Amino acid sequence: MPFIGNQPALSYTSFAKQDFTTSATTSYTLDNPVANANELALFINFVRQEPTTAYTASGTSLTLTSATSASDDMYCVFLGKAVQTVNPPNGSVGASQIADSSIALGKLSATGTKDSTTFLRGDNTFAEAGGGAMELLHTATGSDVSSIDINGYFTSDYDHYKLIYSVYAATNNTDTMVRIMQGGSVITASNYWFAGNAWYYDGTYSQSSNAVGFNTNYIGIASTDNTSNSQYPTTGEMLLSNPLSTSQNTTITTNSIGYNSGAGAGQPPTAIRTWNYAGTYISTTATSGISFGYIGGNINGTIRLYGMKNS
Amino acid sequence: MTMYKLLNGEKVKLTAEEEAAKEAEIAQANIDKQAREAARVEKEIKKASAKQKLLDLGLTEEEIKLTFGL
Repeated sequence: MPFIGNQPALSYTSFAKQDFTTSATTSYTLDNPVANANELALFINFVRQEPTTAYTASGTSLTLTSATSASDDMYCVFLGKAVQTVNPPNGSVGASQIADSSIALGKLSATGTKDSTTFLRGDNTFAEAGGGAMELLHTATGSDVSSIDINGYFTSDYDHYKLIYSVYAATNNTDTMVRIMQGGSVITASNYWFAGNAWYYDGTYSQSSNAVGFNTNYIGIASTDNTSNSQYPTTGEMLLSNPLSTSQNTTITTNSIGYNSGAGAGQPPTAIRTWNYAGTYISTTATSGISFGYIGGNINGTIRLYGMKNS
Repeated sequence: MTMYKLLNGEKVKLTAEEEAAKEAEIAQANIDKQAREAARVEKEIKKASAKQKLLDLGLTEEEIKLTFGL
């Protein structure tokens, strides 16, 4: 049917209920005005009352024919005064009324920063995921370089660092070694101590071996004839501790696989070794980085530095 | 030949001083390697000699291996 004027907004209908605090009276005030008693369904002690006989109503005035007492329970439901709302009544919208992919983050009441680094937690707060106790700080991949140096990643967040390495020499028959860095420079002073032991097997002989250094200018981590064959990298893990301490030495412990190099460059190795090393640099100057290399030539491979959070 | 190092993922040319140090290190490593190889060969010769002496005394190959690991 046509009408004059602005088209009303789409409305929803909801019945409204009013609870009364009863007392020894016949007069009450309604929350919504009504035309007469028939627009109300009045209940006293859960028994519906007859309009105009038990009560009359006009505007916001409700008048009972008999006074209630303070112990009575009285409420009414507005029938003729159905509340017209532009918004759906509270709690009336279900999941099926919401269109797919229609709820933007801005509609959420969650606190915290909403961005690509945060997640919504169960307590309705956007926060960083927090991650694990071990964090990848740097990955370095070198090809035929004199050393692979990782510098400037030690912070007070971590006392201990894990380095995972997979490296091989550019020349045959040489030893894998590391040096610390101070102030960004690789330290070659003869203040390193290290001791390593290995078990060796070449298919015939099975025996222990060792490699040690005292006041040397490097720490060995896989010694004696490592191969330049890329199929046989020296892989292992290192625990580097207390680099920033100015009262304790930086210490290094490693576990690695090692080999005996073959007869010529690039030849398969002739024996396998397992190497366990412990080393330290005698100094109370903070360590800023770590340098991987080979005594007899260049290095290839990848080294990953992880920080292990203090808390 | 120009020498490089990898520093925080960046390939950096060695300074003349660094290059000289690296070359000296490689040279020393080669000397050590030769010494190591000479020691290894000498050790093998001594092992073979010891084994032969044991054989000359009448021990069997199996006895020598079990007892001396040779």
